[in-house]
Amino acid sequence: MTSHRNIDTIRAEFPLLATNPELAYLDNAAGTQKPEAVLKAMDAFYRTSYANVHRSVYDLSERATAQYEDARGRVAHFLNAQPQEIIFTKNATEAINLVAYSFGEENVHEGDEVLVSILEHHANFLPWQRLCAQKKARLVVAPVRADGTLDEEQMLALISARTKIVALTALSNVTGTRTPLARIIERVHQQGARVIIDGAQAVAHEHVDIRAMGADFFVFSGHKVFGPTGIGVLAARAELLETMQPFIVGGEMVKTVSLDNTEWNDIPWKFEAGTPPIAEAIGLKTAIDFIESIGWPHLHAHEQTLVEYALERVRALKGVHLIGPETYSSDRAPIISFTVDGVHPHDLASILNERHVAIRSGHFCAQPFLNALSYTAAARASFTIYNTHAEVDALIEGIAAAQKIFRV
Amino acid sequence: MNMYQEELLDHYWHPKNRGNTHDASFSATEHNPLCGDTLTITARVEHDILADIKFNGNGCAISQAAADLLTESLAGKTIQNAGMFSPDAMRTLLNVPISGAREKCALLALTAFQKGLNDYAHN
Repeated sequence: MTSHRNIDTIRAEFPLLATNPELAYLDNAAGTQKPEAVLKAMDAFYRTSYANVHRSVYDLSERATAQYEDARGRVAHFLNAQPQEIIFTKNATEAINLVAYSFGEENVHEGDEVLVSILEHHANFLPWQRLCAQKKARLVVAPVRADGTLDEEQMLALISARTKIVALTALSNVTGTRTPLARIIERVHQQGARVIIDGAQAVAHEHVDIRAMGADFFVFSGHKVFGPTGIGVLAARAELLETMQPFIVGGEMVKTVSLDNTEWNDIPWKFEAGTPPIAEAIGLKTAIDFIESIGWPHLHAHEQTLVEYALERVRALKGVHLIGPETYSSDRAPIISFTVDGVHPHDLASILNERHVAIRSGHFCAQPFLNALSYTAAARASFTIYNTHAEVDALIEGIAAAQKIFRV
Repeated sequence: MNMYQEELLDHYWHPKNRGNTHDASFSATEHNPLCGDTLTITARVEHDILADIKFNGNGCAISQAAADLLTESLAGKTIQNAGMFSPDAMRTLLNVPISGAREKCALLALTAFQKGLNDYAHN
């Protein structure tokens, strides 16, 4: 299926980019644009196959159910999991909350510890902070080194017999650096604890094999990988899911309901109460097809040239400070965060916006991390397969223009 | 016209009213969680008049310039008049186009002032 289409061809597959040729969209870590194929698949589902799933015997509902379950199978294959190990949620945040509630409730008790890294997005921090407060457990936070990368040795040292859950990002949404997972996951398992990996950024930039990774729980969102909003994924080992109680309850997730007794449905449906995001699942499946049609090597190679070029050009600017490692390395994802002396990140983002360059400014939902490095806010540019060197140039020219306006 | 006009930047770089009011009658702080801006307004009321009003804090050019413009405009007003100062009046005072996403920055000082004045009036 892999075809080596060039970047212009790929870019032309994105209607929003094609109709806004002046736009440099550099906020892909927050959400990517959607290829035509994804939009068409969702549209076609509503036009030709829409019915609710898992409820009715008529042909249309069976067709919708088949497409929905086919999407689950596609996601399972994408992550090297089994279909019953894939739960569709609203987004990665909901998937983490599901684990905090359904797994945390039964497995974390007073005096236990939940270990997170300070790199975490609020989505992988707040559910654990709340769980620990409710359970009188201790939230332990692993630090970063001065360069903003996870201190692996310190994190390893913090895993103990008291540790019940370790929550860790696979790839920082601020620095674009990957987290060393192998030794940490091995140590977690030696201690009989469980690990949840936030893959929201990682899935957009690398082939993920959750079996090889050893993750007990793995989450991501559709909208960061060319899919629609409103769908996320929790992938979890079947034997863990079997022992967990549902997160929310309602329609479709039960076998029998009586006034005093209810039997939950099998996994994964036990965790999918109510009408699920059917069209969104089909959109996500098509987004995965899109990624695999490009091929990881091609995607990776393009992203690497972009981030290497962006780092080089940003480093050449006076008064601009990169957060995280400043030099390029081949495992660096195409995300760069920085500050500009004398220009507040929001002012920078507004000036870039006037030049049709869309970047993120603020704390990127990673306040503990930014604060640990003594920042309150920063600017972030994040790239993907459809971005170009010309867009990096537009970013650099915009930063220089902001410096001129602010006379720095 | 872009947001960063000379006059606005002048208020950002050379604010006249940055500081703390001596013997403040009220003070209030507001945060903009989106960008980490913090703004504190302190004011001294004498015979129902804002005898002194200052701001402190840090953040983007819009929020800080707006605070300087607002405090400049409110000084000497009666608290009744100052209490009627509206978001539209703040926009007029800024005199640059403020994009939707920056509204909160533009109105941060006014929000802090209204909060402080409200507490003062009810105590």
